[in-house]
Amino acid sequence: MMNDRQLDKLLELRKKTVLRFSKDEKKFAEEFFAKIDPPAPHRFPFLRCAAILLILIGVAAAFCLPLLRQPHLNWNKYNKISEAVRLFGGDAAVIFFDNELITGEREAAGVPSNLVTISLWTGTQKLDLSLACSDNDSIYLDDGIYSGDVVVSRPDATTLVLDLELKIDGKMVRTVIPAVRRVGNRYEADIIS
Amino acid sequence: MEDRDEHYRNVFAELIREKLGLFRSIAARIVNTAADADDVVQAALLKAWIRRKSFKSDSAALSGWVCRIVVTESYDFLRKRLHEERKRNEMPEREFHDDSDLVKLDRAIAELPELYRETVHIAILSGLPGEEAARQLGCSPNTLYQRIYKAKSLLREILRRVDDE
Repeated sequence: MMNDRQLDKLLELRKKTVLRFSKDEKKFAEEFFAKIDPPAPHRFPFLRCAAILLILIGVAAAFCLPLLRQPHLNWNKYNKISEAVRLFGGDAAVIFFDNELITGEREAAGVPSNLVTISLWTGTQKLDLSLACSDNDSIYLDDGIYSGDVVVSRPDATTLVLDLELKIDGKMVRTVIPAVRRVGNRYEADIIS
Repeated sequence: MEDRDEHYRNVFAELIREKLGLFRSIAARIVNTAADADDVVQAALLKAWIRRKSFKSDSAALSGWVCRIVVTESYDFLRKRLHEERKRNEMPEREFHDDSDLVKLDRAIAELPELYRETVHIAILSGLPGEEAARQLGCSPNTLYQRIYKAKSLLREILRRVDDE
């Protein structure tokens, strides 16, 4: 059984426990204050968010506006004629009547620089023509179903005038139409014959 | 508001400067490693900081309160550590199967009611002079001596029981 003296001795022994602390008082205090210091408050968070939002809207608008200004084009038609030109070369005349490709001859030398699409209404029927031509060009067709010629001239920088005299499936189409530039070298015309 | 916090920062900076040794020595005798003792003291100071406004200008009361938090935090830390060790099945019950007298003493102190446990750590083991210890514990020297007497008799009883086991 433990008496007072023995207990005091034991407590004295316990008191002598000495540990070495690696951190000095300054470092300890720094760690403590680092824990209690709240993160720096965000000043004007609302204004900051609004500014970021405005910048994003501006950037989006800068990207979208040219697209909005750009007319809606059926790129497929232009791609189709462009590919035909690439395949048949500059000397041949290429015209699509809807999806049917007809080749003929053309007068101007060199690769045709303009791609033209024409929506041609003959009565209740609509026919999509796509062709490639130079600024001043003549295209001759002599196919069984499609024949005739297209004469192209340029009156100004944004217009091509097409003089069509075509026989389509036995029907004669004679008209002079302006094709208006839409984007780059792509022209479009819409006529009722 | 910022001025008040600046005031409390100064109070805590002074508390750390003057009493860190005491806080560390109390914690170290319970948790047994310097690193753990530092963690415990940091946790105790954080608790005190959260309730800093309760101690308007009474720095002695603040210091005594932190001492008592250090004791409680240290035992909480010890309990968690033992629980984790048992969960991992590493050295289960190590603290209580060791035969050394000091370990038996630690166990006996841990079993004391909170008031007497604080008395043992703050008034006996920390080595503070009697009056200073009484100030830290927020009581008169006479009350403190009575508590020390009672704490020692409880310790003897527990140690006797431990010996019998």
